[in-house]
Amino acid sequence: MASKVIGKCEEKFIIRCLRDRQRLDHRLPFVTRDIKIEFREEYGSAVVSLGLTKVLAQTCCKIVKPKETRPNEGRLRLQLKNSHNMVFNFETGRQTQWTTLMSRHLLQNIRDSGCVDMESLCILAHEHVWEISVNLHVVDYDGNILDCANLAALCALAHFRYPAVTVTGTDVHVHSLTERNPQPIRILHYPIMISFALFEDGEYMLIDAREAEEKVMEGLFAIGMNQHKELSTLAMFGEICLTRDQIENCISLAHHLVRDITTEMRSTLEKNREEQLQLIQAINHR
Amino acid sequence: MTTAMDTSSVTKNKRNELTSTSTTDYISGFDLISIEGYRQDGRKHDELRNFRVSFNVVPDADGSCYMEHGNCKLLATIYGPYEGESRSNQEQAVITCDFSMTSYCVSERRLRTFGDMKSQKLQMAIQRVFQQAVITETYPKSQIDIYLKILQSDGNDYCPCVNATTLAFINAGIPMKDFVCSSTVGYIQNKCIIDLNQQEEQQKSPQLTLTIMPQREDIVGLSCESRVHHDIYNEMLDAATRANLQLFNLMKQAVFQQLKTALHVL
Repeated sequence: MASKVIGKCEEKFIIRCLRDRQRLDHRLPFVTRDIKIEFREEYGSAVVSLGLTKVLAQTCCKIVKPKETRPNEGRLRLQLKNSHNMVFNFETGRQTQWTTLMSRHLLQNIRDSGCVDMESLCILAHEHVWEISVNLHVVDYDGNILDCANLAALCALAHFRYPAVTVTGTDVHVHSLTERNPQPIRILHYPIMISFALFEDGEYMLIDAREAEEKVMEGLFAIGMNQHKELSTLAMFGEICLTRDQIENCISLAHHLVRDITTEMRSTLEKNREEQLQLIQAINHR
Repeated sequence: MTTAMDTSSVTKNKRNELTSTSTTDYISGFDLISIEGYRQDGRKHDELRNFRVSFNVVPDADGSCYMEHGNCKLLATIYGPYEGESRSNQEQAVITCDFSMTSYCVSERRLRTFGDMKSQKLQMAIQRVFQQAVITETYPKSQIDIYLKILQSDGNDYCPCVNATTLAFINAGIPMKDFVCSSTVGYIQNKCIIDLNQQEEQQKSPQLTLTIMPQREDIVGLSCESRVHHDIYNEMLDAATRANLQLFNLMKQAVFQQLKTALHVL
């Protein structure tokens, strides 16, 4: 887990506040912080802030040979990278383990749940497929990397465009950006991740823990879900055990939040698309 | 992705098994569950694989257990509790886990047998499960080591590892809050099937791995890595709980059998 270096009085204060259902930043226990999604100029580049936590996502694509076991599917790579902020906060020697574990869970959530239509990324079966790599960088850390990075990766994938390709026989011709418009990736659903921090043997639960709350928590229960109430990931970190009813509560709470976050994300994407169209029209008219 | 094909392809099935050497990700040509309700290995949807356990396999260790769960054969050994190293906890015992596979455990010779991503993930998962399950307050400032060795692998290693470690702890006489049982459940052809083997696991169908303490009814580990609707998830959770209870009964029987043989000797 993240570094647990925190003063005992601060730890006791946070737990005491939890008993009265209070948090340090006056939020309700099951409310996330403000989400801000910014798209940058390049396709597939997004900065998502969850309160003070900021993650930058950048996407790029490459043509590779497909996996032997899945010859007509594209590939997706996802990597979460540390920054100086995170290095300072995490225990030395274990920070790469924690980052790789998170990175792996993010990849599972996005790739294994079938969020991206892999077959549409195939150019020539057994020979050429698109490999999309998403690189996530933690710009600022204030707790809850998992949710923020997941959202950043989804926004980047939704925003990204890859070049159009024509296949004649076995000849593959990649059109440059001036020849043909690049195409967006087909995303089938948006699996948003919601993390529940657990305290006092599972008695108190918080959504979207900040840094101080993360240092005190016993463990994390992450639920990846889309707006149609389909679960894409369930993962437990740390020493926690839950009853079935608690998990049910978590799922219903997460569902409400996921619906709101998905609508917000979609509206931001739409706005960005309109802005880009206006920009293109302005350039064409000149 | 795959559509249901005709089930009269039993002979086709046998030919595939003999001639195919590469692992395909989905097997076309026959159903995973036949019309009569039998799976490829002859089980029904709510039957566990063959379960065999022997204790005290490593006489040098404090506790050991050799388990055969279907085609998965593994050895779990416990050393401890012994005096902890510098990073020991003042109030509790520290549990470490070391997982490795032999190079002959899968059909293609495996070069990287330890330290890779899968092993690390499994180690962390088992460590966190048993740090809660073992009553660590009875052994402050000490350390307990779990060593797991897979001799033959059949898809999911995590579940047999958890079960074998529980039995090894019982063999070592280390007090635990409860047994820890783990099993997988999948959803194929509109039916929940429990205890998946490698072939069923390689499908792109929803899967769930449930680790519980059966008598306390506490879910210690829940992991789902594919898209599944909430209602189906509830069905799968029910099936997984039933599977774990079956497993718990088998494990209890094995422990009692061991006790009886040990007392007979005396």
